[in-house]
Amino acid sequence: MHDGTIEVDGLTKHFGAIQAVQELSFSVEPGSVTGFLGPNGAGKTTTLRMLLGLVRPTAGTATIGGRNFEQLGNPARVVGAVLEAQNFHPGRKARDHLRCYAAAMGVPPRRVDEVIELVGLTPAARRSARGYSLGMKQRLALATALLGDPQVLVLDEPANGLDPEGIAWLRNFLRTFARSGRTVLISSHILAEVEQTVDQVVIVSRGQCVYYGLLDDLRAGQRRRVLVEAADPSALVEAMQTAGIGSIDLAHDGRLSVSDVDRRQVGDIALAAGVALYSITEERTDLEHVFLQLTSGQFSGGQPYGYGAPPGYAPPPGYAPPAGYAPPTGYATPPGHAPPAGYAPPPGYGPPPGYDPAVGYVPPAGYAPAPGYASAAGYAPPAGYAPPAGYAPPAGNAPPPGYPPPGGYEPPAGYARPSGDGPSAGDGPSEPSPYARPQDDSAGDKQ
Amino acid sequence: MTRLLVAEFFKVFTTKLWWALLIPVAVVAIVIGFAGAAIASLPDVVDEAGLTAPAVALTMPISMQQTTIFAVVLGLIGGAGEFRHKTITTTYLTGSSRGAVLAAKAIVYGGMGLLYGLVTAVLCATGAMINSGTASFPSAGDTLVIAAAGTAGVIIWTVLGVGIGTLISSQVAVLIVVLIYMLFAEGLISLILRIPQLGLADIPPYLPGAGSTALQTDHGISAFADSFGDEAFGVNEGLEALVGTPGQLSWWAGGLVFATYAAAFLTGGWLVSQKRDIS
Repeated sequence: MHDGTIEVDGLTKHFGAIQAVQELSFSVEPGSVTGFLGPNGAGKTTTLRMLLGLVRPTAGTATIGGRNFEQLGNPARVVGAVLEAQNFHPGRKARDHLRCYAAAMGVPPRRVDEVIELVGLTPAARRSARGYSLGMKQRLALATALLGDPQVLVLDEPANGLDPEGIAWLRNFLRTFARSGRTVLISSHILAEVEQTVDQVVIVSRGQCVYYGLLDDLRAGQRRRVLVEAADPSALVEAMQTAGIGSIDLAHDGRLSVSDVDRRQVGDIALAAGVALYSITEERTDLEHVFLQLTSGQFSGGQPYGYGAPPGYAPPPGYAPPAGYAPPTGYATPPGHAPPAGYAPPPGYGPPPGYDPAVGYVPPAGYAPAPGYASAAGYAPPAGYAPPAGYAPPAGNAPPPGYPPPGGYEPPAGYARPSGDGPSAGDGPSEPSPYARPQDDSAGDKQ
Repeated sequence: MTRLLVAEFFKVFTTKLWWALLIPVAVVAIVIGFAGAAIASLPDVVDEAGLTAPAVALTMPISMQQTTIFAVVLGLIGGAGEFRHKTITTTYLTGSSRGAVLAAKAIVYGGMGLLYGLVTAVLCATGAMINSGTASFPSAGDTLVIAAAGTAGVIIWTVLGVGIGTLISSQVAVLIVVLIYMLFAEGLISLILRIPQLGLADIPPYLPGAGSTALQTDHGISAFADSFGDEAFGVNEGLEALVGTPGQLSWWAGGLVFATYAAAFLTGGWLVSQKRDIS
């Protein structure tokens, strides 16, 4: 029996001038379901195919149980894969298709009927794949992957074409499969599709890793805000600042956007200040939005949740804030807010292997310039971020003397494998205190 | 390796292609065998001594040459078809290595070539016997050599098809290119090379098709010509031009030349498949 750990290390693939995958590293432990997420064209399929020995990496390695795919011997007994819905001979009956590959793996013919039963294709087993729906093809592909009773299951967009019932069945199946101590790596371009299934996620964008860690940590980074339409916005802002609420933004439609507070709290303050409210709405960033921001490559102040990068967010290379972007007055990171464990600077900003803090440091997501930090044009943390000349962190937001250039930056727990050998979440620059402003405390309590 | 052989055999026999191609092979063989014997038995053709010419010595090689066309199609689709239907992904995921997959295919499709060759030999002989018993057969030994050499040619064509199919991997392109070459292009190339002023007239017998033709027809032509005894002068050359290729090599030398081409394409297919990205 193979140890079903998947290790991807510095994996890179160039197709001519196109860099499909760049320096991708992650690992998947047995007993867990890992989501491999990213928009179409992010390099997911190429990565999975490199893992499965179908595509030759330009650089780096991908191993299963410490071995390359070519070294697995009878690979289908170690890893099963569902890559495309279409890979059947149209004229071959489903059962015959499975018999061919059962023979190649050396598993007994009765296993064929077992997997047909398992995926619910028994009534259609003697029909040729030509007459199969997309969902049936997916089931047949899964049956093929399961023939060899593998330790590792790799699925590329398996939910495509499945009906809701099929998706629910697949979720349940994958959880059970993983719970039996086996490894599941599942790719998708829709976070919601795998959200209920996966334990940890690897999010890629443009061939680079933008987040790698537990889904729960990504979820913890979800933020909420209250949108207020007030008769006298400036009076309300003043009142809220007096009350210690610092994260106030002016939304593009003229409403005030107050981060990380309760709707009632805003209402109470408005009443106390004697400001009439015309509308008050509470919003929450959903995980999908976090995912979108992670993978979109840039964010714009004009979008509904345009008040900051989500935790774990780091501008990918080529990031440029829209012209005219300026951090709003009063905007500040709430205390206690820190990038979740699993925050991973994207490659290009100094990926962990060979990470040089002096050069590649990117302020953790959530780090926000203090009020008065006017940098409409100049705010563009380039690779090799250095504060622009003349940048003076305002009092109150200044890093304490001896602000540790995050030399000790190491991927926090969750970044490394779950065995707990990594540093804990409190280590390194994710320590929130240097950024905290005293008046934010009360707001933080409401989180 | 045994597992992959069984898997490839399953793959061949779980689609319709193998018998869809075998039907014309069978029909052509039995018709040519029958027609050849019928012509040889015509009163005007039977010689003064009342002996029927050994027509099978020619009809069997001709049948085998027709069979090669279907055999090479089977081999080409065997090599390239998996890329067309993208089943190559699953095949590589379930095989110990790409080289082992190709080797298994070459062996299994070689076996299919053997089947096609045997069907051709048996049905061509059957056609002749239906017409006129054993009258139009050469000696038993000659018949066996003719059948064996013809079948060898079919086997090599099938394996060569697998090699080219794996090398090029586009099923449509490979079918068009190979069939045009077999049916027209090599003949044209040979004609051009035989232009005396070029001084390249020695080359045509070493082209793959000519090698295969020599393998499949040379012994039959000799056996047929020998049956004319002293009057055989010029018959050999005439038949070479008609059934085989002019100035062709002996059957074993032609077979060696042709097998070398097949080995080269198989090696090429192997080398390319090692580096190919399956996406």
